[in-house]
Amino acid sequence: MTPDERDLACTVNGTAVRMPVPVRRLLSDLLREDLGLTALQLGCEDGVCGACTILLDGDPVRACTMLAVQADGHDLVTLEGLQDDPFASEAKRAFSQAHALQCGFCTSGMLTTLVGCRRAGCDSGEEALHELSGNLCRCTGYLNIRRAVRTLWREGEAQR
Amino acid sequence: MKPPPFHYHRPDGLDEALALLAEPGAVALAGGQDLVPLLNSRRIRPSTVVDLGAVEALRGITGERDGIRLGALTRHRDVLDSVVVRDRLALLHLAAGHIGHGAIRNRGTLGGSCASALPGAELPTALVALGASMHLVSTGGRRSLPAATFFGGQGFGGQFLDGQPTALRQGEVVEAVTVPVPRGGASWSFAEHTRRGAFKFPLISVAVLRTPGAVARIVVGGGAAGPITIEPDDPAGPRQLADRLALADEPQAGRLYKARIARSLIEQCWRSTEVTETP
Repeated sequence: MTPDERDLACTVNGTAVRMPVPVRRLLSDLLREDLGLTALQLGCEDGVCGACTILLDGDPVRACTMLAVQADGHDLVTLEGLQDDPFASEAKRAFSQAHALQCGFCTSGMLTTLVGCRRAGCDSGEEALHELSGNLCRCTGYLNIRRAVRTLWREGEAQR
Repeated sequence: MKPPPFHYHRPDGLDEALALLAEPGAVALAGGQDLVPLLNSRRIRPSTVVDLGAVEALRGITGERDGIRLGALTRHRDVLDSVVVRDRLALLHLAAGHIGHGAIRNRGTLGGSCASALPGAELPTALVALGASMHLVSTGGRRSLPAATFFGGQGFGGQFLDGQPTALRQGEVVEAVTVPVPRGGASWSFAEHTRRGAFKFPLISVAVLRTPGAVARIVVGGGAAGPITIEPDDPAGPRQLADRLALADEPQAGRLYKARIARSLIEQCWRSTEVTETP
């Protein structure tokens, strides 16, 4: 191991990962390039766009504003790790039905943010939409995304 | 882009961390929400990154005789989750709720926010209004500064000689912040204007604290001079505010536009607070 690498031990989508990583490697690059988890996307690498949102110990964080070495000892979940999560599946269906995506670049970050919201006990579509305002979409114009979120929080047509 | 090469240390102890930070070219990493974007875009090229994440001495929220002490590694999320802060430092709680989004608040820290002191940032504005003390530590020892002095809005004429945003010296870090609890009957307000909902970084932030029997504090952040305090009967119009805050023109927001926003937020905050004199 060169001096510019450190041993990293963490859990990714329920599987223990142990590997040396260059200290300047971003967590987002570790997940995408080294572990092949390509659901998360890199939009800005500035913490602004939200496309790289993952769950760290259950809470949403930006993978592009963390060094991979900072994930040592933590539990990471990407969208790939939410395949059996009932709410994530429901969210995917709602997005699909409301045509809440076109290119899909921002979608995994949005879904991960929404799962984090729901787990944190967010109890209204309005609150979820407020959190989701941290995720940028450059094709849908947001209306359909809003519709999908309203549906997910069981808020009907009249409240749109 | 990707961070440039650097050496990385993750010490457990504060003394070890301070020794590493005393080396020229070393920077402290807390939550990384300001620092990692700076590394990604290579606006900074430190020789060494000292990750403070394992230094337990920098954590914790404790009640003390002269106020509530918050360790530098207290995340914005921890401020929001803290019952003590919510009940006794509601203005700080309110300001922390305005920071970024959940994903940012889950990582960003009080110490990090104060050290980078970006213009308009919520916590510096609120901490100046609350009259907080900043506790700084280095291998040379400890010192404490009033928040207003630390952020440079007062006492330094808004400028530090080395062009830094705060009074932090080479090798020095924020260890903790002590915030006095406002007296009973006090009222407060916080407001900010952001360019858009999404990124949510404020152009201007305003905090007002009105305490019975004391001069009200109106603090405005968003300029190069750090948060400034203005007097309640200060007639400063947008032009004077722009000068005092050392507001800069930006492509999408001219300095007078920002100053008008500031004036409007001050009025909004002032109207939403009132002081009832207790007999």
